Amino acid sequence: MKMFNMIALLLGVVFMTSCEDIIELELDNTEARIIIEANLDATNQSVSVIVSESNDFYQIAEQIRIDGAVIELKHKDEVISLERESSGIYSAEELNVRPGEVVEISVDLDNETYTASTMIPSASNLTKVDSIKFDVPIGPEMNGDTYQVFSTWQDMAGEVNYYRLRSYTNDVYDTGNFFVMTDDGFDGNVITRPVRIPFEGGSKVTMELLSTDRAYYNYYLQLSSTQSEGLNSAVPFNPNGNFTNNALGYFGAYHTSILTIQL
Amino acid sequence: MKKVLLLIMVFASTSVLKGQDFTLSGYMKDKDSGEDLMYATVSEESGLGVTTNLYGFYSLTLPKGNYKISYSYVGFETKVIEVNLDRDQELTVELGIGANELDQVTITAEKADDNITNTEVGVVSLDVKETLKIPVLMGEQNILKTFQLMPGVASNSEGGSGFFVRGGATDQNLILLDEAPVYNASHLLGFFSVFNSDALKDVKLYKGGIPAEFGGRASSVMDVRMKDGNLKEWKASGGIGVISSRLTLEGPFDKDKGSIIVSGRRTYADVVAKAFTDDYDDADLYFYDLNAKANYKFGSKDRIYLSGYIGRDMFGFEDFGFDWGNTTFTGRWNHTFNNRLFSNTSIVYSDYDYGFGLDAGAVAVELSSGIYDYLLKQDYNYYLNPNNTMKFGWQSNFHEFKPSEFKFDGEIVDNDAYSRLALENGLYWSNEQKIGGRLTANYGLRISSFSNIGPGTEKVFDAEDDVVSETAYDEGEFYNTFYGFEPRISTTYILDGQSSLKASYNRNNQYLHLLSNSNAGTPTDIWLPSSPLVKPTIADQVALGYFRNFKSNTYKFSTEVYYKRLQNTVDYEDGAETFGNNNIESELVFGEGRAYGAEFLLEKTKGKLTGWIGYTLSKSELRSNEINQGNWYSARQDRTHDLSIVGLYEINPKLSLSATWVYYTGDAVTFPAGKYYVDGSLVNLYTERNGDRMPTYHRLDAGLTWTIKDTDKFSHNLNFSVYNAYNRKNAYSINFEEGANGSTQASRLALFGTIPSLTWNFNF
Repeated sequence: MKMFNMIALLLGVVFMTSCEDIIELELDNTEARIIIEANLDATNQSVSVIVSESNDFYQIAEQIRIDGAVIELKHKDEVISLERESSGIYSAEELNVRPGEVVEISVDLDNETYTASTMIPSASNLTKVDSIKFDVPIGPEMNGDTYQVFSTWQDMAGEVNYYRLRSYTNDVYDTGNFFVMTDDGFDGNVITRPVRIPFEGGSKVTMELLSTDRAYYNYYLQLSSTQSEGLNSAVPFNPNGNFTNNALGYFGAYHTSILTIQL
Repeated sequence: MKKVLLLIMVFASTSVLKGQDFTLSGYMKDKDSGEDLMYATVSEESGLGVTTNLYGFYSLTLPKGNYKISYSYVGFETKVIEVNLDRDQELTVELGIGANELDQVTITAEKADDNITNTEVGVVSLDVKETLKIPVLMGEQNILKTFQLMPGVASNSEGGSGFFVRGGATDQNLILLDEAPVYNASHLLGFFSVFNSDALKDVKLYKGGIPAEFGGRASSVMDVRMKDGNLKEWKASGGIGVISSRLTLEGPFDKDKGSIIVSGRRTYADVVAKAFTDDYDDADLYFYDLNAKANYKFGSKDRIYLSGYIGRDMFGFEDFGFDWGNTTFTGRWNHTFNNRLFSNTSIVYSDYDYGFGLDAGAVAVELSSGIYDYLLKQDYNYYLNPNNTMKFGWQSNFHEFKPSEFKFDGEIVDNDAYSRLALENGLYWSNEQKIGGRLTANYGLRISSFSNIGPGTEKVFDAEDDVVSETAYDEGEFYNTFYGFEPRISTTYILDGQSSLKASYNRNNQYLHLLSNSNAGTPTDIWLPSSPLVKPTIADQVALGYFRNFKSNTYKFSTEVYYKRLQNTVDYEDGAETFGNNNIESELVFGEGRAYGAEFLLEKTKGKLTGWIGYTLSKSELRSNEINQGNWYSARQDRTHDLSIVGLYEINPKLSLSATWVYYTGDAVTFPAGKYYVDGSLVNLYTERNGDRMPTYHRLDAGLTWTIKDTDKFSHNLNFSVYNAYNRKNAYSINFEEGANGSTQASRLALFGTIPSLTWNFNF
């Protein structure tokens, strides 16, 4: 919801005196906190975990990954150990999880244990990806050759479903889009949704529909509301995931489905 | 109600029994326009006296005898009339503007030392005419901005009309336009107020010591009264400015009996913008408002007033639009039952609604919502004797809250949405009593109630915000009622002719809560009624004041300290989903609040240089179990320091200069203390809620008014003003973002640089 910002800016433009600049602002520093980003891909039966820690706001902008964590999944009575793939990334493949099953994770790091659990969701598949020329003259990035991309899928009737739509432009992941939704009001219907990213003509756009569990949805819902800026921003807060012991991040599961369109 | 009347009659009969008392009653009016003079003073030589009520009515009961009665009102020549009081008499007095008025500037519409003697503590009165000289943004007069220059009243954003009173939130202010509640007093995101100064007669803000006749908000009451219309002759006034123009017509349709006033205003920022650039050819960006009022006297005992307001904001691009506005209507009937009992009956309608639409090719989205009030009100003023003036009455306000209605391609998406209905009642009695020569007390009680009415469904939510249970209620069923007992008392003790001590305590219950997740008063803010899940907010406030005048009332000094306690404050939980959410109760957290501070005001009211210095030192904090680990944290509106300096200098009768300088501590905000990455994106890490501060705000505005011609027949002037004269880049918002080469940085948005403007005003 940057609409209000836009209106405020427009007012400023009308008065031709507004200005935006970079300022030096002193910020408090805080103790580093652990972030665990654990994704279980039920379509590919794999799990990938990134363990990192926070750094001070003005320090270099890169993820500080943490090695040396011991990570295990518990599924039914089976314990699966994750292997360190590259610095700070841990993974396991050839899982055997089915919708409705509960999977637990435990992360041991520096004598602390962080745990969380997730329930494997049902799968939904993209049926169509479409584009329209975006002709609303809002914002400077909107030139005449901008497209909005819509994705269509069939919702599973009789259960609550959670979705996330994300995209890749020319095979590069579009970061910063945390749009999630439920099927509230659309149960069992065909759902069509755009992603709030404008795409340039000529791009190869891959849409990915994630049918997620509730934990994943909750986390990204919070993340999306912390990321709205300016006039309409909610009071800032740290999104709370499902990990115990005050770790940031989440353990979520999803099914994935992709379709590609050439604009 | 019957008991109160009985009580009154007992009081009345005892005074009748004493025998030789007679009553002098009537109205006080402006000789030139016929407008009623409210809060004017009627007194006899020994000092016994009363003030006129909101409709200019007074009643003075004295023992039989000869009296010299003086009628006075600031800015007007005092009239002394000899009265032989040997029977009840009616006397309506018209005051004219004194000869010395033209070269004298008065700041407040009070008797010169009223600030010392009246029982009002925590009250700000401003003369609407005076505010016209204060420099403003784009030359558009804004009474709400002028109030923000007084101690205890703080601005909620750059250029904004929203205000905080004594550490209270914006929604804790009751704003009444001719008794009609106004739910959104802002135009263009708050840069302009909905009150067109041309149509206003009197504005009073109660920061504390709120009289018993008002209720329903925790922090303050702003009582805005529209002009009645000139009863003597037809007049026109108006102005043409850079971005807006206004016109007011007023006059009698039946001389001295009935008059009418119509006042309109429209901005044309979009027209101006289109002249400069082609980018906005498809854009609409304007607001308009229209005030109208008519009144008529039927004989000497009855008078009817009808007044209304319509205002609307429009934002639009080709396929995208926003509009919102207020509509109010007030019908009033004044009746004097006898020379001591005055009554006013009001019927009020008020609505505030907004709509939003987007039509982007294949998808059309519409969202609309609104609040509608139907109010019936009965007020009595009873002038028992010069030492006791009573006010009592009741009001009943039926609220209808239309929920967010979300349409997608013309189809309503959420069919669960239903209008919520509620009835808010108030019953009050108060008495202003003079005890001896030095002590005056105004004490009273307001009993309020608030009922939720069916049809409706109340839901109970669990920690995951899921619905645990639902209870449905039938149409017309009163299924939940809150009661409030709200004592009000304020006292004044006169130390000597130049100074007084004042104290007040009051309790206010607030049954409606504005939920806002933004800084500016955006139109999508939601008004939510109290309900089984949402308890009413209760505010208790004590205040102490010391008032002192110097050099025969040329300088007025006052200081007040206050402490306020709030119970059942309402706020959004972290990450609340607000847009189009009809289960909004699941997204709330409840808590408590406290606010305290000291206010200082030094005014100079006479001479070539007039103006004031206002300073507030204050603190406002909130606490909730779910926020900040249950610790107290600063409310956004916590302003440690708030300083305003206002100066008006009259160079000669034709030229006057004005300047204001404001300085205040930045809002309490939550800035990141660190950062981390999730899903390939930078995410800010926060520690303490509202533990940081926006940069300190300060700004100088200056204005010059050149009176080109000033006669009774025609007068006009040019007003030149400069907003933010030294181009201070005050931060409107600060965003934290990823910089060009992998760095992170803070980006400041400063909305207004130096803005000059020119307005031509006329009057004939």
